[in-house]
Amino acid sequence: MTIQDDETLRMYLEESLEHLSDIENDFLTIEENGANINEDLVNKVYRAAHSIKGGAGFMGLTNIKDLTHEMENILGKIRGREIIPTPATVNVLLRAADTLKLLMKDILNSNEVDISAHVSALQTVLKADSTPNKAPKAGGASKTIMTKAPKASQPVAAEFGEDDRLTIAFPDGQAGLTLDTKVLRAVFEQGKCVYLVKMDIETHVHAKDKTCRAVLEEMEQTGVIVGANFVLQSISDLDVAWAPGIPVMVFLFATILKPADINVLFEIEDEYLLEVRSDLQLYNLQGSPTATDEILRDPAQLSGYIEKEMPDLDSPAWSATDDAMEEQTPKRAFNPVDAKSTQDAVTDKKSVKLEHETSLRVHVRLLDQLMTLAGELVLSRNQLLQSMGSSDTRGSEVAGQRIDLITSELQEAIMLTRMQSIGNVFNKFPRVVRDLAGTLGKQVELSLEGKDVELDKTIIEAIGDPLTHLVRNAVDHGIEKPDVRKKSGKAPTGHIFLKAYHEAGQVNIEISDDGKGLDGHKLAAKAIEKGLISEDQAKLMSAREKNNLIFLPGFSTAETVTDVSGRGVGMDVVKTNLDQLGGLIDIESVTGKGTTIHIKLPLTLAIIPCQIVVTGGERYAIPQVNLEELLRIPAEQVSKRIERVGNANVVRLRGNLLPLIRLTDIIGVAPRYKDPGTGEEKDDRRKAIADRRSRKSPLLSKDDMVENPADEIAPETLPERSEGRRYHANSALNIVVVSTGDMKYGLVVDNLHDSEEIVVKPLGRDLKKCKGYAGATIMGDGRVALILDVSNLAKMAGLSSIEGSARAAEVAQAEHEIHRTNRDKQSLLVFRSGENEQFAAPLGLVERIEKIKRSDIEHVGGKRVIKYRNGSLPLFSIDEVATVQPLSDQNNLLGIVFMVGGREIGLLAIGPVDALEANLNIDGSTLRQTGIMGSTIINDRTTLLVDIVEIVETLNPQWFKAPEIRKDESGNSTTILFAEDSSFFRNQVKGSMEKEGFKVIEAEDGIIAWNLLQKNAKSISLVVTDIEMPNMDGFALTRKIKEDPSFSHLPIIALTTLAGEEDIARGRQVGIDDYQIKLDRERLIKSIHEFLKAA
Amino acid sequence: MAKQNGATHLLKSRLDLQNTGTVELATFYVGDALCGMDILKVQEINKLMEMTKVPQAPAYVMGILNLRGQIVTIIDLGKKLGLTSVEINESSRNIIVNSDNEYIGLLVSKIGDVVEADWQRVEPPPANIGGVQGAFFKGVFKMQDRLIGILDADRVLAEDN
Repeated sequence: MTIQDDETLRMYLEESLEHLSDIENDFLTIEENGANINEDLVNKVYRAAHSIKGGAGFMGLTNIKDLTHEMENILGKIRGREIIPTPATVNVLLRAADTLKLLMKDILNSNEVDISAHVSALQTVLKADSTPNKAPKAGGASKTIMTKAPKASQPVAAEFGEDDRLTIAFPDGQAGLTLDTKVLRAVFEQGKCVYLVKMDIETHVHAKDKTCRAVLEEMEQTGVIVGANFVLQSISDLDVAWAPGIPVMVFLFATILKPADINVLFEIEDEYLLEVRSDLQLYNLQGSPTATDEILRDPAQLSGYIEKEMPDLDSPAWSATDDAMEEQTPKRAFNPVDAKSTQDAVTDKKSVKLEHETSLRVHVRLLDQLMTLAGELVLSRNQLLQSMGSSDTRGSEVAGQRIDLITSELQEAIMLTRMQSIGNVFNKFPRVVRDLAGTLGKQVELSLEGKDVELDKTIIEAIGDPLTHLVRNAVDHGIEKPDVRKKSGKAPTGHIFLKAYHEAGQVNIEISDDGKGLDGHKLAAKAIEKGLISEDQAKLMSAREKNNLIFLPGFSTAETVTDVSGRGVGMDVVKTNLDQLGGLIDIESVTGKGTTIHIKLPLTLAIIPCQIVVTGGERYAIPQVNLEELLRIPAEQVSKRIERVGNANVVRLRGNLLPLIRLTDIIGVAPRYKDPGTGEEKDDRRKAIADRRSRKSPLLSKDDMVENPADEIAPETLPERSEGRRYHANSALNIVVVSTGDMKYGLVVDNLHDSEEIVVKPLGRDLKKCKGYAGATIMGDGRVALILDVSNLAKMAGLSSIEGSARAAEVAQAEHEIHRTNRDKQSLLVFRSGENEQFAAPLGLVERIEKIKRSDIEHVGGKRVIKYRNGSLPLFSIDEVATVQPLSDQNNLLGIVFMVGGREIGLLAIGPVDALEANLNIDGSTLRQTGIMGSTIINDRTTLLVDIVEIVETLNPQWFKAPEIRKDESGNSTTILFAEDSSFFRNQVKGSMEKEGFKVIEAEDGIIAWNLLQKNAKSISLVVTDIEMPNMDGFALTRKIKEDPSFSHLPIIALTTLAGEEDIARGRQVGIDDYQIKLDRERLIKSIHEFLKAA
Repeated sequence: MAKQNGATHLLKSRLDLQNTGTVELATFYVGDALCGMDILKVQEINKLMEMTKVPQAPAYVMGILNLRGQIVTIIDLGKKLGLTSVEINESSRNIIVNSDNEYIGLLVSKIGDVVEADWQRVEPPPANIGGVQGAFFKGVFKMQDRLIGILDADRVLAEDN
């Protein structure tokens, strides 16, 4: 293998990789077009392959050359319509392109890779149409010193003729050699010194006990043999005694050694060594020209290309062939879209590190713009200096503004140079999707939008892997197989839609598929099973939160490990990667309809907008990406809105509880506040956030600390500052609501300043251990401010994402909020009995669902039963009681098992069953009949709510004991006060209680209940209340009752639709004795009985 | 140098002693102790005291400073050496040194003269110089009336201290 300098190689690599990335998508299009061949496109690919092959030839990259050669052959046939591009053919081509990419990743070792499989696959495609002219070369090839003369099979640099050869000889004209002009030019461009060396084999080699081989090896170590007067072969092929067969060897030797040092290498007489300079004259080692002037036959042509001499390259010299030196990639017009990051391209076993990311293509227009701006900046500076010199304030002001403007523009323009289009990442996805879909037997169509959206280079580089993972996931887990899709009424071809767009200074990326979506319940179950969350937490989570569970570390939903998912990369890694970039990810999914993943990314990382806050007298910057909102709690609301949960402070924010962290507490500085009267900064002594009492000021006399009724008066109206200050607005709390990943908390700071764009600077090594800071920045006044690392601060404060109690409280609160907004949301099981009638029953009542075969049902004693666990499960169907469609006559039935009257009964039904949460707007009259408690609309269908107890009661009245009428001492039946705002539930529950023989007093809300309680103080012996009610809710009512000594003995049962841990805890706190689920009348009645017995 | 153990460090110090003729020392006071440092190590000496405190930083870190666009950590040399803190007043200065490709400021009580020291008259450091670990010093230079401890800045600033 013959490799010359890395500069040329790098250029070749960059170009080739660019070609390759285009090739891939073009192949896909060619495949799509099939027999309908688009000649232009095929030509384009052909040319790309050709260029790669050409370069590889010059570089001595035989493997790459061979592979591209075969590809070219096939493309030629396709162009000539001799081969129809079938998916199989394209597959082979694509795989070959992949191999090419691999080879290029480790280009210095590419010749050692075995590519015979690919070559023969390509040849098979060619169908022996043309005899392959290049045998696959596997392994073994090592460095060649020289092979003579360029083969020049490729017109790489078309502007040079093939035969620009020149002869260089010693002044005596005896010893000389011929070589290609381009070779010499390339050497000069690298700034190397070129020497013409003559060695007499007898006197210079053998007399010194050396061999020719050793001499060549030595030369190879310090430079490059550019030309010789004999044919050179690979050095390893030479045996020790090898000799060129001529008495005098002449070399043209390129090296970094200067004329003064060159003879250290050769140790020969000076007249045998001459320097060839770029003016194509020969000089002796002392630097004087030799006698002969025109030794070089064609000097004019050569010198035309050598315009500048570069400083010495200190790269190790590679031995090379003369043809290998030729490739000088003509510089193309700059085009930022073309700019490729090839950072991952080379890991080099051969000691030379090829760093690809060192260059970036920038559009000339942008460079021009930068130049213009730089010019303007200089002019403005002059203007500023001048006006400052002449004390012209007006002038300085103008110049200052101008500089401000130019700086912003300059910043923007410089940032633009780092921008690359996201198409660089997107373009690889068609292939990814095609291959993966093929492997998995799925049909997937990928649409891309917004390829032109530009992002900072670093972000583009970092986002590739996470995005690929998401796209693969969409194909692997999202899109169903064609037959499954057909069954669920979808088109057999799935769609994945990738979209990038700008919004609010951020880049948004959306990956959506129309696949099966995520199943929140499954996810939650899995997370519980893996111990990632507790069951209680799962209960409280919203559907969206459940979907986001897949981002938890250690979570993978793939039931079987597929090629794709078995790679050990989970969604948590995706999330971590994006977090590191300051990005956000969110997942949205509708089961059965598809999944959409939203990603938000900042445009750049170097300059970031930040919120400046002040704490303990120092300024701190909080990155805007982490900032949710700024909150100022006026002093008079502090005690009302800040609550203490455990030992954490929380603030009530639009119904949610937000954990609070005091910045001063975490970083351990004294909080300060600004004295409103004097403007002085003083230490704030409040111990707890909500604690106003202990906030004594040393300036205040003891008398001032006595509670003063005047405190309640607005401070402005108070003449004496000392009295009013405690409630002055400046005692208000400033909270920065920040979020990091799935965590959100409030950071309490002393003061809020403006938002600024800051430049991130790293901190010194002594501060690396301070995890709370992400870096530092220099503010406008020249002082330094620290940048806060919001997620580390949370860790330092002991907040963590899911398991943290504060978070649990928030989840609970969120759920609570949903309850509040969606009044009486119920978990329902939806099922059918007849084909076209939808029924629902409260999910809380369902024990389980059994599959029942109609043939297994026995008719015994006029009743239907089925053998079940050594017993008989009685079966009913709705149509036995209510006037509804008869039970479907299909063989596969479902038995929904309920617990009624202490026994299990099965309600016969058919699918599809679905468990869902619905906002029940129940009509308790229109469709009311025996066994049906009412109707509601679920999924756009009128759905009948089954009253299971009524059904069983109607059919088997004997199962139920005659109600045991409870009476109080005076002989009246027990009276229950029942507060509930929904008339449907009021009637339902009231009915069931009355059936038990209780007397029920109804109330529509807490206040009415309270009033009724006072009126009927004597008769009421138990209170049943709903939690969510207008005017006064269940909690408040309970508190009121329990606080009143005359009622505090009354047992209170709360009814809720879904009892959350947090609710229950809170309820117990205020004195609720028991919780029951609405519509579970049996348990409610049982509970009532128990309490009454105890009383 | 920074991560060598004591023995090789001492050896290195001795080598320094033997190999070099003279060295110009920038001298300064840390409290009452007179120290010196190879003047080539010193980037600049300034009296910028507009530091930003870094809560939670190690105790010897005074704060961070903007030195023409670079963030420089200022270290209280007194604390770092195990002496009393350097008091910030009219005479205190920051000596900015470049250690491990990073600028670090050493806060000292007072700046002294530049002294030319002959390595011949430099003695290896004792185990303890006025309460400071001898390992922090390259040697002790004897002047007519007093001693200058020649500080090894890299060693003082090494992370494992």
